[in-house]
Amino acid sequence: MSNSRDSSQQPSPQQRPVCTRTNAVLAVHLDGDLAYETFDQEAYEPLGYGFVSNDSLHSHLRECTTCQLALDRARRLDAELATMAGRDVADQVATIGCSLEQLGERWLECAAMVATEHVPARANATTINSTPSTNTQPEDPIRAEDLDQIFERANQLRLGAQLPSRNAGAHTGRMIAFAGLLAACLVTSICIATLGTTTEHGQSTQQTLALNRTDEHQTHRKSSAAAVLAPTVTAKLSPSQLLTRSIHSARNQKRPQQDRLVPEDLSLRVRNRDLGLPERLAAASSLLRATHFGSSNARHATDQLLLALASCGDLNQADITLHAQLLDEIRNNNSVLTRLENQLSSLPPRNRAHSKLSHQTLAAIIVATRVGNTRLDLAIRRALRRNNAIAEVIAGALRCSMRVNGSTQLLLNCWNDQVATGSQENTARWATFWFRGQDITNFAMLAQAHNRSHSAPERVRCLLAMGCAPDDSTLQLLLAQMASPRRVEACAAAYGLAALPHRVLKQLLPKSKSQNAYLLRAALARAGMPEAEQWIQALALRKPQMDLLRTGPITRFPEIASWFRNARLTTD
Amino acid sequence: MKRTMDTSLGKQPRPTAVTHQERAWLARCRQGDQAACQSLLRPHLSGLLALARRYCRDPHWAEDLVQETLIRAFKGLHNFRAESSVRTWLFRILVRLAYEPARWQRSMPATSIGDIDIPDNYGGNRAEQDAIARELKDRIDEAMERLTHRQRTALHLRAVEGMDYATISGVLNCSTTAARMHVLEARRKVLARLKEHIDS
Repeated sequence: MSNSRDSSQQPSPQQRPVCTRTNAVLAVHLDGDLAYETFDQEAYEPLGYGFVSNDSLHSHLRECTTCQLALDRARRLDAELATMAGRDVADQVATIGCSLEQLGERWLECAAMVATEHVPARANATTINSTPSTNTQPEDPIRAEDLDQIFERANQLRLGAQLPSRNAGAHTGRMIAFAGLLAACLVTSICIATLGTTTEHGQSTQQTLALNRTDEHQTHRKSSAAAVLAPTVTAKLSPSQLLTRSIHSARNQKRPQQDRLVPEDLSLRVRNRDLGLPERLAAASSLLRATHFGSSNARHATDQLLLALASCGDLNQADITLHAQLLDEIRNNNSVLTRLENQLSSLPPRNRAHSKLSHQTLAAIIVATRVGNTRLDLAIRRALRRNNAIAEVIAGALRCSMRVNGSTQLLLNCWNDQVATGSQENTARWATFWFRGQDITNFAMLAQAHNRSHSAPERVRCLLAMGCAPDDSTLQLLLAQMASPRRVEACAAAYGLAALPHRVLKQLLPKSKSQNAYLLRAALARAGMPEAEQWIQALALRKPQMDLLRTGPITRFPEIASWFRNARLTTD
Repeated sequence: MKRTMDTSLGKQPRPTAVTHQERAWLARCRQGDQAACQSLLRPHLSGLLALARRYCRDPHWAEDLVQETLIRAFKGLHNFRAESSVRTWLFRILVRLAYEPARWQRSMPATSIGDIDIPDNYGGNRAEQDAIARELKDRIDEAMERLTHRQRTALHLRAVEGMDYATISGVLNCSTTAARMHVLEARRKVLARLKEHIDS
């Protein structure tokens, strides 16, 4: 049984020794394959298997160094592959910034949502008609369940010899009339039956005819039939009056307006500033309910909610309250968050022909920016890297001060990403692009970001951005940074300072008279302060130099500063 | 000399059946229980992601591939006949999708310098080890990419997921013998390309 090659032969450097049993050894000893016991030798022979048994393979492996080496290397390869796969997954999860469980949760939610979007919506008892109703027939206020219960109750009380089945009546109107009559008879009979047996007649009747009302929605739906059975009134009416009343009541039953509203209507109500805050909040709440997983056409409702939310601003207190409450709700609403993330991830690249952004996409970007969620922030950055046309949308969305925290970091990160991709630069122009008009709290956060950053370009961006502050909140930090030993940051601070309003800069005029304050003088001259005219005249600048002073880039600012430094020296 | 005949040779394999627990979850899924669907699919996510990473270098594409697999799985749960295990079924979906990228790739990958996350811990004493590990990884990746789609999948499923040949054949929709040969051939080719790197 020795059909193995003699593995003791010296292999050539180019060709390793080959053993016909290596594959069988690997299959059995590495992959745990047991099929060798049952295989057809003729079929396997061309594939590298010889006829072997378990014992012979064991003994062969002990002797054959080729198989030992192959087994050893294959084991190492398998281990390496497994390690690499594990590392890849761990790296990916770490990059995203959440655990694998959280990531999986998101995927599953997203998959469930996308998958259910393609399933036709089932008829359910949601409070909103999820799609515009095409049925022009008015909905019968008495529902099937009501009729069933009335019939059942009547049968229990043995009213009438033979009550027809509900299905027997083809005409709904006639059925309603019949139900009304029946209800009237029920009340009359029960009133008679309970007369004198209870102290509070109405209460006992009401208890008898509770019709198993369980919750608010059920109550509302069944009230059309049950309302006519109000004991305090019905006890004094004749059956015919009760019948008339029941039909009348059933026909004129007013249902809440929102029951008939489709998501578009609700969205319009949320946006309508002429409506009161409670009405807008109620519409928003209904819209939010319709966005949950499992709700029919949740995607449509979510889109409408996003459109409504994107158009909310912070113009008045009502808007602010509504906006803040809705954003709070969305932060805990997984279906909306997932939808936002999906929309951001499916944003087309800018170079695509059809890359014009739709209203829906814009709304998703605006809302995602304002929500302030780590997941969404990452998605926004990814989307921005794919399509830098949304940079303006992001900056604009954050100018509405509805985001609770993290807006400064998001702005800085977006700017950083754009610099990394070569779309933008670390200049005052882009600082203005991102930070001009932002909420005042952002500038305090910029100071913190500057202090904790270990990246020189980021510190420069912070300093430039501080120049967009509308008040003197960043003034002291910029002044302090002008004395920084890092020349680039000192220039950036001066450059940022020059962008502050004149009324803020006026308080620096006394300091500018100091001998070493040439950088401050350069900044004030660049800002166009009237008091700086005398220094400029003393420099006798030509037109190109004047242009450089007024509009030159930050990279040329050291040159401008040197003029003022040298002027001081000549004056001395 | 012929021993017992392997009836599966050259035919469709007999895949592993679903477990009792999976059967219970499946029943609940078919009644519309989303939580049961999630319980059914959640244990296989890391495996799916690992295989997706084997196909796609771009992590976003890998995520897209897994997401698309899950979406198909959710849509197809009602038609799943439970003739193979859920794991086999999920991997089969992913493998088929990976074979036809046009069916799930939404756009060209937008890899830019900003997409590349550089870990902070590069350097120091680990730098040399990391460099060696990265070189070996690159070589293995290169060797794996030279394999056929089936060979690459078979070797990954065997080495990383620890699947037996019957399960691999279920994923690849081939015979057990073919699955075995895919694994062995893939291993032989990769080792041939790695040469002495794997020994060191």
